[in-house]
Amino acid sequence: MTPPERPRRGADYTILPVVVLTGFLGSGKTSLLTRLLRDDPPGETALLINEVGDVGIDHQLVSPVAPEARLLPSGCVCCSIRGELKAALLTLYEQRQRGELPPFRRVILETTGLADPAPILATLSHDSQLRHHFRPGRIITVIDALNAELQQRCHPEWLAQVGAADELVVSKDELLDSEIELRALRESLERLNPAAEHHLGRDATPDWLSRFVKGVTAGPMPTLRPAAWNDSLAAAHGEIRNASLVLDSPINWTHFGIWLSMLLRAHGTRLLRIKGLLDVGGAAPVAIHGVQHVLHPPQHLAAWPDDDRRSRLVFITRGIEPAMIERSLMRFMAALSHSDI
Amino acid sequence: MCGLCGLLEGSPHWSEVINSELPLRQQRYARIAAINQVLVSHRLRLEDFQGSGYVLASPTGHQEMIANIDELWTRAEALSGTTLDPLDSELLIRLEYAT
Repeated sequence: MTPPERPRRGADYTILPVVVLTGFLGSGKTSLLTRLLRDDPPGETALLINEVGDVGIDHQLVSPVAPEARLLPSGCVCCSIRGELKAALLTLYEQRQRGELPPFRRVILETTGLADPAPILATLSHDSQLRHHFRPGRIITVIDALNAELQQRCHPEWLAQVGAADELVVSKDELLDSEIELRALRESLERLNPAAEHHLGRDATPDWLSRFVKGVTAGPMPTLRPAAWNDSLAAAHGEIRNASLVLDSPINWTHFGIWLSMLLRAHGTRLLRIKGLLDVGGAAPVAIHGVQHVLHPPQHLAAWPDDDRRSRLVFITRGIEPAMIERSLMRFMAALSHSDI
Repeated sequence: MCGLCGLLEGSPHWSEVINSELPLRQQRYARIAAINQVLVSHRLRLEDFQGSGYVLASPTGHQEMIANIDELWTRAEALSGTTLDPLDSELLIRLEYAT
C-alpha cells in the first residue's frame, strides 16, 4: 500500500488571506478582478469563483491572468458554505503544500451575485480546520452605479453585501448622466455603511490588492451621528437605522460580551454592521468589528486614536430602533454590575 | 483535550479573550454569576463544569452540557421554551427589578 503523501520538506505554513469579492449580479466583479490581477506575477493569487447556474463563464474570462482559477461546482456560496467552500480551500491548500500548485500567497473568492457574505466570513473565521491555514481578508463589494437604487429596493442581498463591505467599489459610474447622481449614490452608500472605505472602480490599480489582503483593521471610527440623522436615513433607505452610542464610563468587557452575544444571537440578521472602540479600563481601547451575527476577534489597540477616551459604538441596523439598543445596553450594564462575586 | 476526563476544549469565544486582573477561574465564576442574572428570569441556572464547560439546568432537573456562550443562548431557549431577546421590554424590566 502506498503511504499517504506528506507535505514537502520546507513547505510554507503561512496563514493565507482570503479576500472576498462580492457584488450583485452584473455589477462588474470580474472586470475589477481582471484589473486587480493585471500585473500580478503568475502563481501569486489563487481564485475561487462561485456561480449560480450550471455553466461557469467567469473563470474563463479571468483564467488568462490567474491560471489556477477554480470554479465551485454549483449554487450559491452562502447555502453550501460548509461543504464546497471548505473543501475547495483545503484542496487548494493541499495542492500548494504538495507542490502541485505554485506557492500562492493569497486567495480571492468571487461570490455569486446573490451571496450573503456573513456565512462566508463565519466559515473563514471559525471553521476549526480552515482557521489554521486561512484568515479573512477584506470584503470588497462592487456596486453597479446604474442599478444600485433598483437593486436596493428589490433585493435584500444587495443590502447585506453593502453592509458587510470593508471596501465599497462603485462601478459603471461613467454611465451615469451627471456628477450629481454619482454624488448622491456615494452619500447614500456612506449612510448605509460608514465603516467602509469608498472607491470608484475606474481608479482600481493592482496595488489595491496589498491593502485588501490585510483583513479588518481598526481603521477610522465611523462618525457618530445625531438622532436626526436617522430621519434622512429612513427617508432614503426605509428600515435602515444608524445607532450611535457613546458611553462616558469604562465598560465591563465580560458584561458587554454577554449582552452583545445575546443580541447577535437574537438579531444577527438585522445587524448589518457593528463597529466600536471600547474603554475596558486599560490604557488603550479595544476595537470590535462585526457583520450580522459574526464578530471578528476583538483587537487591543496600541493607543486611542484621538483625545476622546469614551467608548463609541455604531450599529447599522435593519428595522431596529437605536433607542431600543441603547436602552437594552444600559439596563444590562446596570443590572450585571450587581452580579459581581 | 483534558487527559483525565476526555473533554475536548474548543477555541476561546470572542467574549472571553480580553485580559483581566482576576485569576482565570475567578473570572469564569464572575462571568457565570452575570449570566445567571439574565437566566434567572427564565428559571434556568448555569454552573461551571471542570473549568472548561458549563452545565445548564432547568427547574425540573433537566441538565445540559454547554461548550460556549453562543450555544448557551440556543440551549437556554430550548430548555425554557421562551425566547431570550435582550431587546425584550419584559426582560429589561425584570433585570431592573432584580437590582
